[in-house]
Amino acid sequence: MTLLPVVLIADDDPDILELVSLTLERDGYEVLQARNGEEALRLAAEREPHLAVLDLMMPGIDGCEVTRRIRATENGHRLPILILSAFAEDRQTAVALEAGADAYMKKPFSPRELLAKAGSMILERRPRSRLAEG
Amino acid sequence: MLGMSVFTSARTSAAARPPRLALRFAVYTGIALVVVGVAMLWVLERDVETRAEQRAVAQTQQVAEAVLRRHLRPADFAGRVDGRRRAELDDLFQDIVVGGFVRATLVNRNGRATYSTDPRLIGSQLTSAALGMALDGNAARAEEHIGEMKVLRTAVPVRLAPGGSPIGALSLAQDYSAIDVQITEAFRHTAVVLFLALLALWGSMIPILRRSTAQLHDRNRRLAAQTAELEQALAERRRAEEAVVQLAAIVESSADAIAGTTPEGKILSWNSGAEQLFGYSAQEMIGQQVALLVPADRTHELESVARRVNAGESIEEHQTRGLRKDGTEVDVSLTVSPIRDSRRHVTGTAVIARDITHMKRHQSQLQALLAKERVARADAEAAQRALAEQNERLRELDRLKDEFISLVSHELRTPLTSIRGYLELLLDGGGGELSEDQARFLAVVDRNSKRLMHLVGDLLFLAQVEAGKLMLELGDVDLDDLVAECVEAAKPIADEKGIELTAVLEPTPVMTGDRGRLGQVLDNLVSNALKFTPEGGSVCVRMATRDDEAVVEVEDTGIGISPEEQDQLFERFFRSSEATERAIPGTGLGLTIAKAIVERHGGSIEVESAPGEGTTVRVRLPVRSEKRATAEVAA
Repeated sequence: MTLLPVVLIADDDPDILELVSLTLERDGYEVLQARNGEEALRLAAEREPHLAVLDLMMPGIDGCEVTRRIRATENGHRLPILILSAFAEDRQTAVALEAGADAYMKKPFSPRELLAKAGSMILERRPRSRLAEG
Repeated sequence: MLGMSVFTSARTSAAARPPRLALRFAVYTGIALVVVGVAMLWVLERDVETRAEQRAVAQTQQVAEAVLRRHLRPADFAGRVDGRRRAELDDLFQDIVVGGFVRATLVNRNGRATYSTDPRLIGSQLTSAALGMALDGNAARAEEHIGEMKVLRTAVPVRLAPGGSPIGALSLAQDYSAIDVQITEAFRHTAVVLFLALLALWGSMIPILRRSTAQLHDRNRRLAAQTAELEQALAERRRAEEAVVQLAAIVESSADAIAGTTPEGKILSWNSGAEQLFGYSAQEMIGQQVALLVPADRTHELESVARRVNAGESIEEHQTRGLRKDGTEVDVSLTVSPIRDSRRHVTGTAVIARDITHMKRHQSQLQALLAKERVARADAEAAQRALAEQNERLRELDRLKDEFISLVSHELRTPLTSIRGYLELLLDGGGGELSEDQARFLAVVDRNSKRLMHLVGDLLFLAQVEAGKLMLELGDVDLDDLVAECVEAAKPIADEKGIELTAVLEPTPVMTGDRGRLGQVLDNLVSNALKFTPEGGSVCVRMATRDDEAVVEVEDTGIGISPEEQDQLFERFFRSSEATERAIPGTGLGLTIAKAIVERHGGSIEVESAPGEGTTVRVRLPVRSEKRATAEVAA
């Protein structure tokens, strides 16, 4: 039993997975690492995190699909989801918002920005308003 | 009535026969018979009358000679008879039976009446022609009138002895009507007999008449039929003759050569077309062998054709060559058909030869044209295929470009994310305390990774613009605010370079646009101005409103740009020669991007510059009229 907020991080790129983990852990979060969509879904179901930071482009089940499936579970609607996207076009990223994500952040992003966004999303506990990028 | 009966009988017995002919015949014969009858009656009447009168005379003579001679005395003529004698004579004449006897008178030679049954006449002198003749010795008669009564006076001489001179005359008057009655009766009998005879004659003629009319009718009919046949035959003959004439004319006028030959190949006819085609006249050719018209190397063809046609086969449009009189050859198309007699025996051949020189030439021309056309079509098809392939390649390239954008977007940003992220962690002291050198080196990495990041961002942005995928996030933009922010942000760099950076603002209406993108434009223009302005120079940002547009000017006292290069300023990756020479960093994308964003907002951008003096970049953006701006942006 821990009192630290739990953040689920999913990214197929281990460097970025590590970067996000480091950033959040240093700020006092407990981090759950997932290397793909299946793992992310399993951890989300097992550990009920306070926030999910999902990479959009992952082999197999991508960030959109993970979001859709989480939203389809019983308590899934309560989980704040932040999408990380390497796509240049907003159009591609917007699909993630339609799938049920709360906000997105374009790569490359600043670790400081990520911390700020993660903090506010956990505090607001699934804010419905769309958060603007950095 | 009679005519009618003949008519009706003729009509009923032979309805088909024309009744008019029989009727006419009956009428004509009837009239002829009536005329004959009338003539006969007239002759008969004269005859009967004469006979009756003669009989009356004879009677009177008989009376005079046979009766009176015995009773009359010469004294009776001497003078007026006395009373006694008169009574005796009265008795005598009373007894004379003469039809219609009216009176009798005795006349002496002097013409004086010596006695008369009419006492008033005795003693009177009588003169009449008949009496005169009688006194001359000849019996005579005359028609006279006694009072109202017409009488026939017969005067006969009275002689003492036969042959002696008359001593007087006896005059007897008979009532003429009595004689007339006799005449009329005789006439009537004769007429009836004549009429009956005529009627019988006419009646007996009817069957003959009918038979002959029928025969006539039949003959007429036969004649008519024969005439019709004759006329038909004549017409056919005429038509046949015309057809022959026409055929002959056709054959003669045909442009094709037409010739008739015997089965052995001797030419019997030769039209003008043949004369023209082969150069031989009809006179020259008739009687000649058809082999004369065949080139030596084609003799075998002639033999084969002759054999087939004589066997009853027709040969149509056989293409071969003919030999002209002048020795040249000509391309001909031959049609050869057998000519047969009524027993279907082949008695000759009809040869039609057509000059196909022109056709042959046209054919070869046509084939040449067709060949050319085939080649041209093949070329066109090849070109089309090449074009299609090129199109396909272009589509493929377009697709690859899109893919490349995605790839760049994803594959460049991902490593950049790691580089930038970890660098930030290091600089934030996440990897422990940094030495001075370490911090300096990492600052270089940081600056260059930022350049790389901006370059990637600019490239992707341009790719989006060119693909027509640039989306604006429209909202209210306060340009004054934006310009002030931009100048504020650039202040540290300007200060660092010793450049005076100023902003001249003027309240401007809010416009509709993408605040982030417009800010990007201003940042770019200001940083360019600072980049190309040497130390001690100045950069001024002016903001003004004219009519419906806001004008933002960024003026510097920099190195400027030559007029030749000004035109290329907004081209991708263009870098001025000055910039390259002085090693001023840049990608050559900034103005291209600025122009794209401004134009997407419905505005325009222009440059004024003099080398060595400075440059002014002027941006015009629509304001105030929100609707117009929205419409233009949406477009």
